[in-house]
Amino acid sequence: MKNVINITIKELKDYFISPIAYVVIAVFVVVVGILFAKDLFLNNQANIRPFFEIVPSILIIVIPSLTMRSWAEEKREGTLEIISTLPVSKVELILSKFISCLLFVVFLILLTFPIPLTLNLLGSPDNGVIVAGYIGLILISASYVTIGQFISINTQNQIVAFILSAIIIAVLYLFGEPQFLQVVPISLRSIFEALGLGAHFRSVARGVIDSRDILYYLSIIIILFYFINKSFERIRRKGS
Amino acid sequence: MLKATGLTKTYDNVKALDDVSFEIKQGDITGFLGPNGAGKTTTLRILTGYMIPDSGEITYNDKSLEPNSKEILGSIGYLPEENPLYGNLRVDEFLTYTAKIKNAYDLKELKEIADKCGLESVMTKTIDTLSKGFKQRVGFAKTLIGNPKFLIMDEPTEGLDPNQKEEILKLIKEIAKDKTIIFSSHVLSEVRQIANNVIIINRGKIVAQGNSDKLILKHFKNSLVTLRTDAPITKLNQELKKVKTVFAVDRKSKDRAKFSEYAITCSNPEETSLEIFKAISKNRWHLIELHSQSQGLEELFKELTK
Repeated sequence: MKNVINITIKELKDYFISPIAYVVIAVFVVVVGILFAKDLFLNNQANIRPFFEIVPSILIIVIPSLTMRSWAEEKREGTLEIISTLPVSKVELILSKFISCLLFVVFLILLTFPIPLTLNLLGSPDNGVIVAGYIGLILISASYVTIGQFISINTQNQIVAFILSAIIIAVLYLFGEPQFLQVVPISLRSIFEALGLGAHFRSVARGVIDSRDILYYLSIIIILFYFINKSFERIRRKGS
Repeated sequence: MLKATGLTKTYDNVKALDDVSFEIKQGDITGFLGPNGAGKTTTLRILTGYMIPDSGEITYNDKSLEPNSKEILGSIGYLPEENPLYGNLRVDEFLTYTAKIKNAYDLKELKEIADKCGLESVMTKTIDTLSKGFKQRVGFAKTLIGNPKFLIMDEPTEGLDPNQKEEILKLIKEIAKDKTIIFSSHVLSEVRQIANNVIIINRGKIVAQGNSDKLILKHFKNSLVTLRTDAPITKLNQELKKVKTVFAVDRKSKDRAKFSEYAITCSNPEETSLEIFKAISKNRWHLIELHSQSQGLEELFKELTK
Protein backbone atom coordinates (compact mmCIF):
# COMPACT_ATOMS: atom_id res chain seq x y z
CA MET A 1 0.00 0.00 0.00
CA LYS A 2 2.91 2.32 0.88
CA ASN A 3 4.34 1.81 -2.61
CA VAL A 4 0.98 2.56 -4.20
CA ILE A 5 0.84 5.87 -2.30
CA ASN A 6 4.44 6.80 -3.18
CA ILE A 7 4.08 5.99 -6.87
CA THR A 8 0.66 7.65 -7.06
CA ILE A 9 2.06 10.86 -5.56
CA LYS A 10 4.97 10.83 -8.02
CA GLU A 11 2.65 10.17 -10.97
CA LEU A 12 0.26 12.91 -9.86
CA LYS A 13 3.19 15.32 -9.61
CA ASP A 14 4.15 14.32 -13.17
CA TYR A 15 0.67 15.30 -14.35
CA PHE A 16 0.86 18.67 -12.66
CA ILE A 17 4.42 19.33 -13.88
CA SER A 18 3.43 18.62 -17.47
CA PRO A 19 2.18 21.61 -19.48
CA ILE A 20 -0.22 19.29 -21.32
CA ALA A 21 -2.18 18.89 -18.07
CA TYR A 22 -2.83 22.61 -17.88
CA VAL A 23 -3.90 22.74 -21.51
CA VAL A 24 -6.25 19.82 -20.81
CA ILE A 25 -7.66 21.53 -17.69
CA ALA A 26 -8.19 24.83 -19.52
CA VAL A 27 -9.78 23.25 -22.60
CA PHE A 28 -12.03 20.99 -20.52
CA VAL A 29 -13.32 23.75 -18.24
CA VAL A 30 -13.86 26.24 -21.08
CA VAL A 31 -15.58 23.77 -23.42
CA VAL A 32 -17.83 22.31 -20.69
CA GLY A 33 -18.64 25.83 -19.42
CA ILE A 34 -19.54 27.23 -22.85
CA LEU A 35 -21.65 24.24 -23.87
CA PHE A 36 -23.49 24.20 -20.56
CA ALA A 37 -24.10 27.96 -20.51
CA LYS A 38 -25.36 27.87 -24.09
CA ASP A 39 -27.85 25.18 -23.19
CA LEU A 40 -28.90 26.89 -19.96
CA PHE A 41 -29.70 30.21 -21.58
CA LEU A 42 -31.34 28.68 -24.67
CA ASN A 43 -33.77 26.52 -22.67
CA ASN A 44 -34.02 28.84 -19.67
CA GLN A 45 -34.17 25.81 -17.38
CA ALA A 46 -32.08 24.91 -14.29
CA ASN A 47 -31.47 21.39 -15.64
CA ILE A 48 -28.30 19.34 -15.00
CA ARG A 49 -29.12 16.78 -17.69
CA PRO A 50 -27.44 18.56 -20.63
CA PHE A 51 -24.27 18.80 -18.54
CA PHE A 52 -24.15 15.04 -17.97
CA GLU A 53 -24.85 14.48 -21.66
CA ILE A 54 -21.89 16.61 -22.71
CA VAL A 55 -19.16 15.64 -20.25
CA PRO A 56 -18.73 11.89 -21.07
CA SER A 57 -18.24 12.82 -24.75
CA ILE A 58 -15.64 15.45 -23.92
CA LEU A 59 -13.83 13.00 -21.68
CA ILE A 60 -13.42 10.68 -24.71
CA ILE A 61 -10.78 13.16 -25.91
CA VAL A 62 -9.56 14.42 -22.52
CA ILE A 63 -8.74 11.09 -20.85
CA PRO A 64 -6.68 9.58 -23.71
CA SER A 65 -4.61 12.80 -23.69
CA LEU A 66 -3.72 11.96 -20.07
CA THR A 67 -3.30 8.19 -20.35
CA MET A 68 -1.27 8.31 -23.58
CA ARG A 69 1.95 9.02 -21.68
CA SER A 70 1.46 6.82 -18.61
CA TRP A 71 3.12 3.66 -19.96
CA ALA A 72 4.24 4.68 -23.44
CA GLU A 73 6.58 7.34 -22.07
CA GLU A 74 8.11 5.00 -19.48
CA LYS A 75 8.76 2.49 -22.26
CA ARG A 76 10.24 5.10 -24.60
CA GLU A 77 12.46 6.70 -21.93
CA GLY A 78 13.53 3.33 -20.51
CA THR A 79 12.35 4.29 -17.02
CA LEU A 80 10.09 1.24 -16.92
CA GLU A 81 13.32 -0.66 -16.27
CA ILE A 82 13.98 1.51 -13.20
CA ILE A 83 10.59 1.10 -11.60
CA SER A 84 10.29 -2.60 -12.52
CA THR A 85 13.59 -3.39 -10.82
CA LEU A 86 12.68 -1.67 -7.57
CA PRO A 87 10.82 -3.66 -4.91
CA VAL A 88 7.40 -2.90 -6.34
CA SER A 89 4.92 -5.57 -7.36
CA LYS A 90 3.43 -5.31 -10.83
CA VAL A 91 -0.05 -5.00 -9.34
CA GLU A 92 1.08 -2.06 -7.17
CA LEU A 93 2.53 -0.34 -10.24
CA ILE A 94 -0.56 -0.89 -12.41
CA LEU A 95 -2.82 0.22 -9.57
CA SER A 96 -0.76 3.37 -8.88
CA LYS A 97 -0.83 4.45 -12.50
CA PHE A 98 -4.59 3.92 -12.60
CA ILE A 99 -5.29 5.73 -9.32
CA SER A 100 -3.09 8.73 -10.15
CA CYS A 101 -4.74 9.24 -13.52
CA LEU A 102 -8.21 8.77 -12.09
CA LEU A 103 -7.47 11.25 -9.29
CA PHE A 104 -6.41 13.81 -11.88
CA VAL A 105 -9.64 13.21 -13.81
CA VAL A 106 -11.66 13.50 -10.58
CA PHE A 107 -9.90 16.82 -9.97
CA LEU A 108 -10.94 17.90 -13.48
CA ILE A 109 -14.52 16.82 -12.89
CA LEU A 110 -14.61 18.65 -9.56
CA LEU A 111 -13.67 21.82 -11.42
CA THR A 112 -17.16 21.68 -12.93
CA PHE A 113 -18.68 22.03 -9.48
CA PRO A 114 -19.71 25.67 -10.06
CA ILE A 115 -22.25 24.31 -12.57
CA PRO A 116 -24.50 22.47 -10.04
CA LEU A 117 -23.91 25.38 -7.65
CA THR A 118 -25.19 27.83 -10.25
CA LEU A 119 -28.18 25.59 -10.91
CA ASN A 120 -28.98 25.53 -7.21
CA LEU A 121 -28.81 29.32 -7.13
CA LEU A 122 -31.04 29.70 -10.18
CA GLY A 123 -33.58 27.02 -9.38
CA SER A 124 -34.12 23.85 -7.43
CA PRO A 125 -32.60 20.90 -9.32
CA ASP A 126 -32.73 17.32 -7.99
CA ASN A 127 -29.44 17.10 -6.06
CA GLY A 128 -29.77 13.30 -5.83
CA VAL A 129 -29.54 13.15 -9.62
CA ILE A 130 -26.53 15.47 -9.52
CA VAL A 131 -24.70 13.26 -7.01
CA ALA A 132 -25.58 10.12 -9.00
CA GLY A 133 -24.41 11.85 -12.17
CA TYR A 134 -21.05 12.65 -10.61
CA ILE A 135 -20.71 9.04 -9.40
CA GLY A 136 -21.51 7.94 -12.95
CA LEU A 137 -18.87 10.32 -14.33
CA ILE A 138 -16.24 8.84 -12.03
CA LEU A 139 -17.22 5.30 -13.02
CA ILE A 140 -17.17 5.99 -16.75
CA SER A 141 -13.90 7.91 -16.35
CA ALA A 142 -12.34 4.95 -14.55
CA SER A 143 -13.20 2.70 -17.50
CA TYR A 144 -11.86 5.29 -19.97
CA VAL A 145 -8.63 5.41 -17.94
CA THR A 146 -8.13 1.64 -18.00
CA ILE A 147 -8.83 1.52 -21.75
CA GLY A 148 -6.36 4.37 -22.34
CA GLN A 149 -3.72 2.76 -20.13
CA PHE A 150 -4.14 -0.60 -21.83
CA ILE A 151 -3.49 1.06 -25.21
CA SER A 152 -0.60 3.06 -23.74
CA ILE A 153 1.21 -0.05 -22.45
CA ASN A 154 0.92 -1.62 -25.89
CA THR A 155 2.36 1.31 -27.82
CA GLN A 156 5.55 3.30 -27.65
CA ASN A 157 4.25 6.35 -29.48
CA GLN A 158 2.07 8.68 -27.42
CA ILE A 159 0.18 10.07 -30.42
CA VAL A 160 -0.72 6.57 -31.57
CA ALA A 161 -1.82 5.77 -28.00
CA PHE A 162 -4.00 8.89 -27.91
CA ILE A 163 -5.71 8.31 -31.26
CA LEU A 164 -6.28 4.58 -30.68
CA SER A 165 -7.64 5.12 -27.17
CA ALA A 166 -10.01 7.86 -28.29
CA ILE A 167 -11.31 5.72 -31.17
CA ILE A 168 -11.83 2.61 -29.01
CA ILE A 169 -13.54 4.57 -26.22
CA ALA A 170 -15.74 6.38 -28.74
CA VAL A 171 -16.78 3.12 -30.39
CA LEU A 172 -17.57 1.49 -27.02
CA TYR A 173 -19.47 4.62 -26.02
CA LEU A 174 -21.49 4.58 -29.21
CA PHE A 175 -22.51 0.92 -28.82
CA GLY A 176 -25.34 1.78 -26.45
CA GLU A 177 -26.47 5.00 -28.15
CA PRO A 178 -30.06 4.97 -29.53
CA GLN A 179 -28.88 6.28 -32.94
CA PHE A 180 -26.41 3.40 -33.22
CA LEU A 181 -28.86 0.78 -31.98
CA GLN A 182 -31.27 1.74 -34.77
CA VAL A 183 -28.87 0.42 -37.42
CA VAL A 184 -28.07 -2.78 -35.49
CA PRO A 185 -30.16 -5.94 -36.13
CA ILE A 186 -32.83 -6.31 -33.43
CA SER A 187 -31.40 -9.62 -32.20
CA LEU A 188 -28.08 -7.93 -31.41
CA ARG A 189 -29.46 -4.74 -29.87
CA SER A 190 -29.54 -5.98 -26.28
CA ILE A 191 -25.91 -7.14 -26.54
CA PHE A 192 -24.72 -3.78 -27.90
CA GLU A 193 -26.80 -1.92 -25.34
CA ALA A 194 -25.26 -3.98 -22.55
CA LEU A 195 -21.78 -3.27 -23.93
CA GLY A 196 -22.23 0.47 -24.44
CA LEU A 197 -20.29 2.68 -22.03
CA GLY A 198 -22.74 5.55 -22.56
CA ALA A 199 -25.93 3.54 -21.97
CA HIS A 200 -24.79 2.47 -18.50
CA PHE A 201 -23.76 6.04 -17.70
CA ARG A 202 -27.17 7.39 -18.69
CA SER A 203 -28.78 4.86 -16.40
CA VAL A 204 -26.67 6.03 -13.43
CA ALA A 205 -27.07 9.71 -14.34
CA ARG A 206 -30.85 9.33 -14.16
CA GLY A 207 -30.33 8.92 -10.44
CA VAL A 208 -30.73 5.15 -10.35
CA ILE A 209 -27.59 3.50 -9.12
CA ASP A 210 -28.16 -0.03 -10.34
CA SER A 211 -25.73 -2.77 -9.26
CA ARG A 212 -25.64 -4.00 -12.88
CA ASP A 213 -24.18 -0.69 -14.03
CA ILE A 214 -21.61 -0.67 -11.25
CA LEU A 215 -20.76 -4.30 -12.03
CA TYR A 216 -20.39 -3.42 -15.72
CA TYR A 217 -17.84 -0.67 -15.04
CA LEU A 218 -16.02 -2.76 -12.45
CA SER A 219 -15.85 -5.65 -14.93
CA ILE A 220 -14.30 -3.40 -17.58
CA ILE A 221 -11.74 -2.14 -15.06
CA ILE A 222 -10.84 -5.60 -13.74
CA ILE A 223 -10.66 -7.22 -17.18
CA LEU A 224 -8.42 -4.43 -18.47
CA PHE A 225 -6.24 -4.63 -15.33
CA TYR A 226 -5.74 -8.29 -16.21
CA PHE A 227 -4.78 -7.42 -19.79
CA ILE A 228 -2.50 -4.58 -18.68
CA ASN A 229 -0.76 -7.10 -16.42
CA LYS A 230 -0.48 -9.53 -19.34
CA SER A 231 0.93 -6.76 -21.56
CA PHE A 232 3.44 -5.93 -18.84
CA GLU A 233 4.49 -9.57 -18.75
CA ARG A 234 4.85 -9.53 -22.53
CA ILE A 235 7.16 -6.51 -22.23
CA ARG A 236 9.20 -8.38 -19.64
CA ARG A 237 9.42 -11.36 -21.98
CA LYS A 238 10.42 -9.21 -24.93
CA GLY A 239 12.55 -6.81 -22.93
CA SER A 240 11.07 -3.66 -24.50
CA MET B 1 25.82 -15.62 -3.40
CA LEU B 2 24.26 -14.97 -6.78
CA LYS B 3 23.63 -18.00 -8.94
CA ALA B 4 22.28 -18.25 -12.48
CA THR B 5 21.37 -21.69 -13.76
CA GLY B 6 20.56 -22.65 -17.33
CA LEU B 7 19.35 -19.26 -18.54
CA THR B 8 17.96 -19.36 -22.04
CA LYS B 9 16.40 -16.52 -23.96
CA THR B 10 15.32 -16.38 -27.59
CA TYR B 11 14.32 -13.26 -29.54
CA ASP B 12 12.75 -13.69 -32.96
CA ASN B 13 14.19 -17.21 -33.31
CA VAL B 14 17.68 -16.00 -32.39
CA LYS B 15 19.12 -17.43 -29.20
CA ALA B 16 20.33 -14.46 -27.16
CA LEU B 17 21.25 -16.70 -24.23
CA ASP B 18 21.99 -20.37 -24.51
CA ASP B 19 22.11 -22.30 -21.24
CA VAL B 20 23.97 -19.60 -19.32
CA SER B 21 25.09 -20.63 -15.83
CA PHE B 22 27.43 -18.92 -13.39
CA GLU B 23 28.01 -18.19 -9.74
CA ILE B 24 29.18 -15.03 -8.07
CA LYS B 25 30.41 -15.38 -4.53
CA GLN B 26 29.70 -12.93 -1.74
CA GLY B 27 32.12 -10.02 -1.86
CA ASP B 28 33.35 -10.65 -5.41
CA ILE B 29 33.63 -7.95 -8.04
CA THR B 30 32.89 -9.65 -11.32
CA GLY B 31 33.45 -8.10 -14.72
CA PHE B 32 30.94 -9.34 -17.26
CA LEU B 33 32.64 -9.21 -20.61
CA GLY B 34 31.54 -9.79 -24.14
CA PRO B 35 31.37 -8.13 -27.53
CA ASN B 36 28.31 -6.06 -28.46
CA GLY B 37 25.23 -8.25 -28.81
CA ALA B 38 26.80 -11.13 -26.89
CA GLY B 39 23.97 -11.22 -24.33
CA LYS B 40 25.36 -9.09 -21.48
CA THR B 41 22.38 -6.74 -21.12
CA THR B 42 19.89 -9.59 -21.49
CA THR B 43 21.64 -11.52 -18.72
CA LEU B 44 21.74 -8.52 -16.38
CA ARG B 45 18.08 -7.73 -17.08
CA ILE B 46 17.19 -11.30 -16.18
CA LEU B 47 19.29 -11.06 -13.01
CA THR B 48 17.26 -8.03 -11.91
CA GLY B 49 13.92 -9.59 -12.78
CA TYR B 50 13.16 -6.99 -15.46
CA MET B 51 13.20 -9.67 -18.11
CA ILE B 52 11.70 -13.13 -17.90
CA PRO B 53 13.91 -15.91 -19.31
CA ASP B 54 12.49 -18.71 -21.45
CA SER B 55 14.03 -21.13 -18.98
CA GLY B 56 16.49 -21.14 -16.12
CA GLU B 57 16.62 -19.89 -12.58
CA ILE B 58 18.21 -17.05 -10.61
CA THR B 59 18.90 -17.38 -6.91
CA TYR B 60 20.18 -14.81 -4.45
CA ASN B 61 21.59 -16.42 -1.31
CA ASP B 62 19.72 -19.62 -2.25
CA LYS B 63 16.39 -17.82 -2.62
CA SER B 64 14.77 -17.98 -6.03
CA LEU B 65 14.19 -14.55 -7.61
CA GLU B 66 10.74 -15.10 -9.09
CA PRO B 67 8.53 -15.87 -6.10
CA ASN B 68 10.65 -13.63 -3.81
CA SER B 69 11.26 -10.80 -6.26
CA LYS B 70 10.00 -7.98 -4.03
CA GLU B 71 12.20 -9.01 -1.11
CA ILE B 72 15.24 -9.70 -3.30
CA LEU B 73 14.93 -6.53 -5.38
CA GLY B 74 15.20 -4.59 -2.12
CA SER B 75 18.72 -5.96 -1.75
CA ILE B 76 19.80 -5.11 -5.30
CA GLY B 77 21.11 -1.82 -6.63
CA TYR B 78 20.78 -1.77 -10.42
CA LEU B 79 22.20 0.63 -12.94
CA PRO B 80 20.60 -0.19 -16.31
CA GLU B 81 22.23 0.30 -19.69
CA GLU B 82 22.13 3.96 -20.85
CA ASN B 83 21.11 4.95 -17.31
CA PRO B 84 17.43 5.91 -17.76
CA LEU B 85 16.24 8.50 -15.21
CA TYR B 86 13.07 10.45 -14.48
CA GLY B 87 14.34 13.59 -16.16
CA ASN B 88 11.50 15.83 -14.99
CA LEU B 89 12.32 15.24 -11.31
CA ARG B 90 14.94 17.06 -9.28
CA VAL B 91 17.91 14.98 -8.09
CA ASP B 92 16.74 15.08 -4.45
CA GLU B 93 13.18 14.19 -5.47
CA PHE B 94 14.39 11.23 -7.52
CA LEU B 95 16.64 9.88 -4.76
CA THR B 96 13.92 10.38 -2.13
CA TYR B 97 11.38 8.61 -4.35
CA THR B 98 13.71 5.64 -4.84
CA ALA B 99 14.52 5.52 -1.12
CA LYS B 100 10.84 5.55 -0.17
CA ILE B 101 10.08 2.70 -2.55
CA LYS B 102 13.04 0.75 -1.21
CA ASN B 103 11.67 1.44 2.26
CA ALA B 104 15.03 3.01 3.08
CA TYR B 105 14.21 6.68 3.41
CA ASP B 106 16.79 8.19 5.71
CA LEU B 107 17.76 11.79 5.06
CA LYS B 108 21.20 11.32 6.62
CA GLU B 109 21.94 8.29 4.47
CA LEU B 110 20.73 10.09 1.34
CA LYS B 111 23.04 12.99 2.12
CA GLU B 112 25.96 10.62 2.62
CA ILE B 113 25.26 8.92 -0.72
CA ALA B 114 24.95 12.30 -2.45
CA ASP B 115 28.27 13.39 -0.94
CA LYS B 116 29.95 10.14 -1.93
CA CYS B 117 28.73 10.56 -5.50
CA GLY B 118 29.62 14.26 -5.67
CA LEU B 119 26.03 15.41 -6.09
CA GLU B 120 25.83 18.05 -3.31
CA SER B 121 25.92 20.96 -5.77
CA VAL B 122 23.13 19.64 -8.02
CA MET B 123 20.65 18.20 -5.52
CA THR B 124 17.96 20.77 -6.32
CA LYS B 125 18.50 20.73 -10.07
CA THR B 126 16.19 18.99 -12.53
CA ILE B 127 17.84 15.81 -13.82
CA ASP B 128 17.23 16.73 -17.48
CA THR B 129 19.41 19.85 -17.08
CA LEU B 130 22.45 17.89 -15.84
CA SER B 131 25.52 16.89 -17.83
CA LYS B 132 26.01 13.25 -18.79
CA GLY B 133 28.62 12.81 -16.05
CA PHE B 134 26.27 14.09 -13.36
CA LYS B 135 23.40 12.00 -14.71
CA GLN B 136 25.61 8.94 -14.43
CA ARG B 137 26.39 9.88 -10.83
CA VAL B 138 22.67 10.24 -10.10
CA GLY B 139 22.09 6.76 -11.54
CA PHE B 140 24.95 5.46 -9.48
CA ALA B 141 23.67 7.16 -6.32
CA LYS B 142 20.29 5.53 -6.92
CA THR B 143 21.92 2.08 -6.95
CA LEU B 144 23.48 2.72 -3.52
CA ILE B 145 20.23 3.60 -1.76
CA GLY B 146 19.26 1.17 0.98
CA ASN B 147 22.80 -0.23 1.23
CA PRO B 148 22.10 -3.10 -1.22
CA LYS B 149 24.10 -6.32 -0.88
CA PHE B 150 24.19 -6.83 -4.64
CA LEU B 151 25.16 -4.23 -7.23
CA ILE B 152 24.39 -4.92 -10.87
CA MET B 153 25.66 -2.37 -13.34
CA ASP B 154 25.35 -2.41 -17.10
CA GLU B 155 28.29 -0.51 -18.57
CA PRO B 156 28.55 1.99 -15.71
CA THR B 157 31.24 4.08 -17.39
CA GLU B 158 29.80 4.18 -20.91
CA GLY B 159 29.91 7.64 -22.46
CA LEU B 160 31.97 9.23 -19.70
CA ASP B 161 35.24 11.10 -20.21
CA PRO B 162 38.44 9.49 -18.83
CA ASN B 163 38.36 11.51 -15.58
CA GLN B 164 34.71 10.68 -14.91
CA LYS B 165 35.42 7.01 -15.67
CA GLU B 166 38.25 7.05 -13.19
CA GLU B 167 35.98 8.57 -10.53
CA ILE B 168 33.21 6.00 -11.03
CA LEU B 169 35.69 3.11 -10.93
CA LYS B 170 37.22 4.52 -7.76
CA LEU B 171 33.76 4.77 -6.26
CA ILE B 172 32.93 1.16 -7.16
CA LYS B 173 36.16 0.03 -5.51
CA GLU B 174 35.37 2.09 -2.42
CA ILE B 175 31.92 0.65 -1.88
CA ALA B 176 32.89 -2.89 -2.85
CA LYS B 177 33.97 -4.03 0.62
CA ASP B 178 30.75 -5.65 1.75
CA LYS B 179 28.98 -6.05 -1.57
CA THR B 180 28.71 -8.53 -4.40
CA ILE B 181 29.17 -6.65 -7.65
CA ILE B 182 28.66 -7.62 -11.25
CA PHE B 183 29.22 -5.06 -13.97
CA SER B 184 29.32 -5.40 -17.71
CA SER B 185 31.86 -3.66 -19.83
CA HIS B 186 33.77 -4.02 -23.02
CA VAL B 187 36.60 -1.84 -21.72
CA LEU B 188 39.02 -4.48 -20.53
CA SER B 189 41.34 -2.08 -18.73
CA GLU B 190 38.47 -1.12 -16.41
CA VAL B 191 37.67 -4.72 -15.67
CA ARG B 192 41.33 -5.46 -14.95
CA GLN B 193 41.45 -2.43 -12.67
CA ILE B 194 38.64 -3.39 -10.31
CA ALA B 195 37.36 -6.93 -10.90
CA ASN B 196 38.79 -10.00 -9.24
CA ASN B 197 36.73 -12.32 -11.43
CA VAL B 198 35.51 -12.27 -14.98
CA ILE B 199 32.74 -13.92 -16.91
CA ILE B 200 33.15 -13.85 -20.68
CA ILE B 201 30.07 -14.33 -22.82
CA ASN B 202 30.01 -14.72 -26.57
CA ARG B 203 27.01 -15.34 -28.82
CA GLY B 204 24.85 -16.08 -25.78
CA LYS B 205 27.18 -18.66 -24.25
CA ILE B 206 29.55 -18.37 -21.34
CA VAL B 207 33.00 -19.08 -22.75
CA ALA B 208 35.06 -18.49 -19.60
CA GLN B 209 34.55 -17.62 -15.97
CA GLY B 210 36.76 -17.32 -12.94
CA ASN B 211 39.82 -15.46 -11.74
CA SER B 212 41.26 -13.56 -14.70
CA ASP B 213 44.92 -14.46 -13.97
CA LYS B 214 44.09 -18.14 -13.69
CA LEU B 215 42.05 -17.99 -16.88
CA ILE B 216 44.93 -16.38 -18.74
CA LEU B 217 47.33 -19.05 -17.47
CA LYS B 218 44.88 -21.77 -18.41
CA HIS B 219 44.31 -20.50 -21.95
CA PHE B 220 47.79 -19.31 -22.81
CA LYS B 221 50.35 -21.92 -21.94
CA ASN B 222 53.00 -20.22 -24.10
CA SER B 223 54.43 -16.77 -23.58
CA LEU B 224 57.08 -14.92 -25.51
CA VAL B 225 60.35 -13.31 -24.37
CA THR B 226 62.22 -11.19 -26.92
CA LEU B 227 65.79 -10.01 -26.53
CA ARG B 228 68.59 -8.27 -28.46
CA THR B 229 72.03 -9.61 -27.73
CA ASP B 230 75.34 -10.42 -29.41
CA ALA B 231 75.12 -14.05 -28.24
CA PRO B 232 75.63 -16.50 -31.12
CA ILE B 233 72.54 -18.56 -31.91
CA THR B 234 74.16 -21.96 -31.38
CA LYS B 235 75.61 -21.05 -27.98
CA LEU B 236 72.43 -19.33 -26.81
CA ASN B 237 70.50 -22.43 -27.86
CA GLN B 238 72.83 -24.64 -25.87
CA GLU B 239 72.45 -22.49 -22.76
CA LEU B 240 68.67 -22.22 -22.94
CA LYS B 241 68.12 -25.92 -23.66
CA LYS B 242 68.93 -26.48 -20.00
CA VAL B 243 66.03 -24.20 -18.91
CA LYS B 244 62.85 -26.21 -18.35
CA THR B 245 60.48 -23.36 -19.13
CA VAL B 246 61.92 -22.71 -22.63
CA PHE B 247 60.31 -24.45 -25.59
CA ALA B 248 62.01 -22.82 -28.61
CA VAL B 249 64.60 -20.20 -29.54
CA ASP B 250 64.20 -18.34 -32.84
CA ARG B 251 66.43 -15.67 -34.35
CA LYS B 252 64.26 -12.94 -35.81
CA SER B 253 66.91 -10.62 -37.26
CA LYS B 254 70.57 -9.67 -37.13
CA ASP B 255 71.99 -6.17 -37.48
CA ARG B 256 75.43 -4.93 -38.64
CA ALA B 257 76.82 -4.66 -35.12
CA LYS B 258 76.41 -8.44 -34.71
CA PHE B 259 73.40 -8.01 -32.46
CA SER B 260 70.53 -10.37 -33.06
CA GLU B 261 66.93 -10.27 -32.04
CA TYR B 262 65.68 -13.53 -30.55
CA ALA B 263 62.19 -14.74 -29.72
CA ILE B 264 62.03 -17.30 -26.94
CA THR B 265 58.81 -19.31 -26.57
CA CYS B 266 58.36 -20.32 -22.98
CA SER B 267 55.83 -21.20 -20.28
CA ASN B 268 56.84 -18.74 -17.58
CA PRO B 269 58.15 -15.43 -18.91
CA GLU B 270 59.46 -14.14 -15.55
CA GLU B 271 61.49 -17.25 -14.73
CA THR B 272 62.71 -17.51 -18.33
CA SER B 273 63.86 -13.87 -18.34
CA LEU B 274 65.87 -14.52 -15.19
CA GLU B 275 67.54 -17.59 -16.70
CA ILE B 276 68.33 -15.70 -19.92
CA PHE B 277 69.92 -12.92 -17.91
CA LYS B 278 72.02 -15.44 -15.94
CA ALA B 279 73.22 -17.14 -19.15
CA ILE B 280 74.14 -13.83 -20.77
CA SER B 281 75.96 -12.67 -17.68
CA LYS B 282 77.87 -15.99 -17.33
CA ASN B 283 79.05 -15.88 -20.97
CA ARG B 284 79.82 -12.15 -20.81
CA TRP B 285 77.58 -11.43 -23.79
CA HIS B 286 76.03 -8.03 -24.21
CA LEU B 287 72.32 -7.50 -23.68
CA ILE B 288 70.58 -4.47 -25.20
CA GLU B 289 66.96 -5.33 -24.72
CA LEU B 290 64.92 -7.92 -22.86
CA HIS B 291 61.18 -7.89 -23.07
CA SER B 292 58.67 -10.40 -21.80
CA GLN B 293 55.29 -10.49 -23.50
CA SER B 294 52.89 -12.25 -21.23
CA GLN B 295 49.35 -12.68 -22.55
CA GLY B 296 46.70 -10.51 -20.91
CA LEU B 297 42.97 -10.14 -20.59
CA GLU B 298 42.81 -8.48 -24.03
CA GLU B 299 44.36 -11.50 -25.71
CA LEU B 300 42.13 -13.83 -23.72
CA PHE B 301 39.06 -11.83 -24.71
CA LYS B 302 40.08 -11.77 -28.39
CA GLU B 303 40.83 -15.48 -28.34
CA LEU B 304 37.52 -16.43 -26.76
CA THR B 305 35.22 -14.08 -28.65
CA LYS B 306 36.58 -14.63 -32.18
